[in-house]
Amino acid sequence: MPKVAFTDSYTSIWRGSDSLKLIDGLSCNKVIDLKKGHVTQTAIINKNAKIIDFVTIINFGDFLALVGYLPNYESMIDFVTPKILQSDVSISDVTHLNNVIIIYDDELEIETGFFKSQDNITYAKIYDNLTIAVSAKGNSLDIDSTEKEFHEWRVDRVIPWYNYEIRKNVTPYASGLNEFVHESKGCYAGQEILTRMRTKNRGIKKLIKIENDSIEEKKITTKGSENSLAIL
Amino acid sequence: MDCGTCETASPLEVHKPEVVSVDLTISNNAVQMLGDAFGDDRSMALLVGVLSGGCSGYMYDLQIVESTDIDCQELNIDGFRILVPKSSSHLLNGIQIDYEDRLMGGGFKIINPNAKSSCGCGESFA
Repeated sequence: MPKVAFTDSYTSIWRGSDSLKLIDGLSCNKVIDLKKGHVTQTAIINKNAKIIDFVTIINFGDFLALVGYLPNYESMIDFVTPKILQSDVSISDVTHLNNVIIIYDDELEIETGFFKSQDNITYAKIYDNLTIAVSAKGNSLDIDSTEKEFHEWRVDRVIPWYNYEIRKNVTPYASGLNEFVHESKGCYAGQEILTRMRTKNRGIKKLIKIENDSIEEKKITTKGSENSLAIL
Repeated sequence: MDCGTCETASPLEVHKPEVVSVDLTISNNAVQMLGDAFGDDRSMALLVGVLSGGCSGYMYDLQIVESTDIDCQELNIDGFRILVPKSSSHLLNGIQIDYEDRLMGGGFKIINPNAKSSCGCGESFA
């Protein structure tokens, strides 16, 4: 099972009874029903439906762990914290205490959307054969793969990734995150815009795998050796 | 992650907006509706709060309560006890509470000079 470091990630801990409700109101996937032991992903978006960050949420019961993209951390915090008001939410940054590792092509016996913790390492299965492992520093897993190999693998499986497809200040529909826009959840910031895009079929793009020779270079979001990803 | 090390990380210092002394008004229609709702029992209070959520980021929250654990400013307007959470006072200063008597989309409305935009249903603002 190849392992590569997710070095540009952050890990934060969210405590308080209103944490899921707060995230649910500020993101486009439905996370309010996320049960203890489950994992999901959602894009935190602003009222213009532009991505602030895309996060993996791991529900430990007593708290949530959020793994996101480190360059987006400050803007995510700046966006979220004014909305806490009198809600029971407290956020801690534990990035410096943990390593995040991507395990791909994995054979871990975990169902997608679930996690398990073992030997101080939490394995959160976000896609079939793709797991995010969060380990306390000092318990890290051995890295035996390169980012290039990982991106080659995910091109083959059409999986969007940070700073390639998933970008700040564009809508989830222009980032290959269509499956993370819940179409029937209640009101949330940016919902009206995403609904309008969907009903008028404007600005809805798709993440596709395409042969390198079949597409203009500038439209490629991740280039593989034979195939590439593009959002068209 | 479940090793206890995360327990040592202290929570982020969240910038708390300055608490402002809230000035709010209630329209005649709203006064009448509140009078119907409260009856003669003026020990109850109208809690005017703001929650995160809605299409525009913030959502109004109106409740009739006897008391609350939330740290609030208490106002007395037209004989009604009005409670405004201090944490959202900066978002609610200057509002007018109105009541629209319509079959669809009627009910209490908040006219908020601090709102840069609001959603179609009027329950959410930014």
